[in-house]
Amino acid sequence: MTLFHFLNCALLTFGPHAVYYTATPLSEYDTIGTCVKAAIVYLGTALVKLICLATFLEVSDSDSFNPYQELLKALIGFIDVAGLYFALTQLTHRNISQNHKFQAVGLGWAFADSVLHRLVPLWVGARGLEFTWEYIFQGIEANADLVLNLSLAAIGSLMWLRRNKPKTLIPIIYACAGILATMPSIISYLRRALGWQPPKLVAFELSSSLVMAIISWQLFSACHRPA
Amino acid sequence: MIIHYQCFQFDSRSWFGRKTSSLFSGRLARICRGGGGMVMSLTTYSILVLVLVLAVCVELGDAATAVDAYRLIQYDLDGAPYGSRLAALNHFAGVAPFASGVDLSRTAVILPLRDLNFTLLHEFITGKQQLGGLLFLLPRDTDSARKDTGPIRTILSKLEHLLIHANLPYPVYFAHEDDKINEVLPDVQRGDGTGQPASATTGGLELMTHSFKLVVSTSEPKKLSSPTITNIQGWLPGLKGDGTSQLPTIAVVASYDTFGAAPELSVGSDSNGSGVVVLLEIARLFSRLYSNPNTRGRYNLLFGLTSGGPYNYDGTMKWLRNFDQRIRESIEFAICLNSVGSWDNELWLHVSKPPENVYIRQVYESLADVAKELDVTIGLKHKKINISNSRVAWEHEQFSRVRVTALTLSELSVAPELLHNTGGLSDSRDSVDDTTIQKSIKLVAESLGIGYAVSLKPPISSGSTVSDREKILRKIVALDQNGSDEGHDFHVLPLTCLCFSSPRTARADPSISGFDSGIFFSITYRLASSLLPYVLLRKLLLEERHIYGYQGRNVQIFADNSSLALNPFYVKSWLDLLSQTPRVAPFLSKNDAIVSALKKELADHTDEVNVYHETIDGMFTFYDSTRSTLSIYQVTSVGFDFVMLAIIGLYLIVLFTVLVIATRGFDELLLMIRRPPTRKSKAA
Repeated sequence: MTLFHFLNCALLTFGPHAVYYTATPLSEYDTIGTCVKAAIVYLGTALVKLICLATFLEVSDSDSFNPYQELLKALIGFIDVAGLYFALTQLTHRNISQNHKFQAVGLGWAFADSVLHRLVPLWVGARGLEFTWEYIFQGIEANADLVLNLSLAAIGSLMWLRRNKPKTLIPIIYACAGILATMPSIISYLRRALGWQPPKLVAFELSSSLVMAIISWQLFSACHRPA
Repeated sequence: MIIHYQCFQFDSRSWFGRKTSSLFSGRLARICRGGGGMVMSLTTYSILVLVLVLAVCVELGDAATAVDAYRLIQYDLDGAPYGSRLAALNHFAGVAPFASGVDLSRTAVILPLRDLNFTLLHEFITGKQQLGGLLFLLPRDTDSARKDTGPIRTILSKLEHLLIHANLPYPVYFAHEDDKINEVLPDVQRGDGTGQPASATTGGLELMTHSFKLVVSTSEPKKLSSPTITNIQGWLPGLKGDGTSQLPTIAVVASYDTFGAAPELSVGSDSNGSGVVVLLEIARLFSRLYSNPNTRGRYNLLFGLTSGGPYNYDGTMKWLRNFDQRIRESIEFAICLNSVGSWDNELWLHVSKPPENVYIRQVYESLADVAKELDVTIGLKHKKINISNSRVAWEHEQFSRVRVTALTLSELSVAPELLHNTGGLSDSRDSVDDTTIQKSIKLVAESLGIGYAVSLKPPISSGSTVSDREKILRKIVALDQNGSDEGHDFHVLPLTCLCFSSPRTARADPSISGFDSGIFFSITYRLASSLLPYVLLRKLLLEERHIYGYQGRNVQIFADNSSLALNPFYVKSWLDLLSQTPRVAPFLSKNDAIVSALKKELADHTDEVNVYHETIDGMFTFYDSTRSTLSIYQVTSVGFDFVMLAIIGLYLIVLFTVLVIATRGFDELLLMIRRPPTRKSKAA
């Protein structure tokens, strides 16, 4: 039954966000408001990105990798970072610790990202009679994206909210931030220029997001260690 | 999509009304207390229900493969049903070989035509085995080498014979082989052949196999209420002499429609596209001759493109019965053309009147003469008409039934059975040869031309003797040697070629060649005295050749490199057009493109064109829905979905436990597990 398949894929795509919310102390401190605000900021950021893309990018028929277009897309991707900065610093949050703030913002951000990018294709495509692995891969990608966004939010909070950081770690922090921000461009480069197949691509995404998560976790705990 | 319609029959608002009212009545107290939260849960509940109702409507969406599929013809003959009786298809695909005794009633069997197993097909059809559906894969035209088409054509004609006379209570479709379909076939074969997915109870890897579903979504086929057949006739009048008597008429007739197993693929290049092309080219040539009154013959020419050929030449009969009595009586003879495109060196002339008949002998002999020039033979076959038998095998039989002399020129030596040799699947562009058609055209045109030539002179008494003949010849020679008068247009020496220069450029050129642009054939009116009856003239011509030593020279009016030459490009372009147009008469509308094209073409060549619409007689009934889109979906079994659900559920649970342990500690996890039982015990 194809509705069944749709439910499976939806569970895979959006389940982890709900699980993360309930499993971690976020639910105890009722940080849902923060998540919602972060989601709204993401919406605004997405609109701005769309306008920039429409203005500056050319539409090409072929699916080949055009370095200039990709460079432009990467630059526009930095608007994402700006949006995250806005969400972390400018919004008023209730008194929640920094630890939970970045998690809540990251979660809301990732949830909005998943919903906007993946819900409609899932609804339209997965209910059909035809079976493809595409939507399962999309779900796994959503998981990887969640981890990536959480790491980015962590690094972001380190950069903008934390005042006293060990000097040696600062360049690493910025390097990590750079890698995380350009991750979408790297993935599209792999898909188009090198022609990687979906399974390989998804494996790469999962592994890279896990690696980045571990690195950012180490950085975070290093910066928060009592001096 | 019945499911779709059923969904929308739910009147969601009234459904909501009832649900909400029940909720209200049940929980009135709680609503008063926690109003906002209750309303919120109500609306979320109702929205959820609405979403679920909409979601159940499964949309078919995009298929991996969608191809054009052409349905087997469905018709009733005298009330007996034949062909494929259903059109909609929604079953799993299966490919031979099958395990014995397996139930195929929910399987659509795919049979590629390259290696068709006729015994299997016979079993299906004669054993009246119930199938979900049948799909034949026709090889692509482009990739079959020329030498490969022979065996494929025999397979196709055998298949067609089998299918046309079978009654199949399931949908049967033809589709062209495609890359995507070819990828699907080995996958289907890997399963157990029936293609049905394993049930949820069988475990292991079988749960992961994909199966394919063939879907054709179309409505129930309906009877065609009164299919029209269209006869097109063109009239080229001859030059009326001083007398007001009716000129004799010669008719050239060909039926242009076809019948085959797949109506959308029945292009009938040989049966009877070749006949149509020969008729059109002859019309063109004679219209050139007739355009000038000096060369207009004293015969009327009637060109008939009839329809309803496969159905016992029904259209021809109705056309003839509509004729004016006088015109019908003026028809001296009619030549019907049937499949003249793929013969080697033997053509057949079929007659129903005894061959001793004057006109038949005349035509046969003129044809035989021209045939000898072209190094081919013409055989004569006589088949009496049986009035009590309703089967009309040749078109000339319809003429004979209204007492008009007629004959059929065909490459077939035996009369075809009902609905056979009517231009079906096996009859495609490469089953006709252009040069063969050109030979046929030459044959018919030149033999008509002999009669035309003779007709140019008023008839004389038939009393000439041999000595008279010699006198006449010498007169002709003398005229020639006297040099050319203006208006001289008859060469004797090259009498063998009967070639002619235009009246203006008086040429005493004895050579055969030398045709200029305005070549006309006219035995001069000045030779009015030397008029010979047709038969004698012919004999004379043959002797001439012998006397003057121009043996073996062709007698040609429509010689190559003259302005009256056969146009091979015309032939090719019409043949190409006809080979791309399916022409099954019940499915041709009154103003169909090919009918209008034929009408316009005849109008270009003849003076008067008439189009007659008739209906096919009651013996045949046809059904519509001849062409649809076949979609092939790759589907998985329900078991697969359950397995996926289990995997994802497990993943989420593991994720949950990991996160709880990581962030809150292991004790929290134990607390969470132990909490529900304590609550229950409290409630109890």
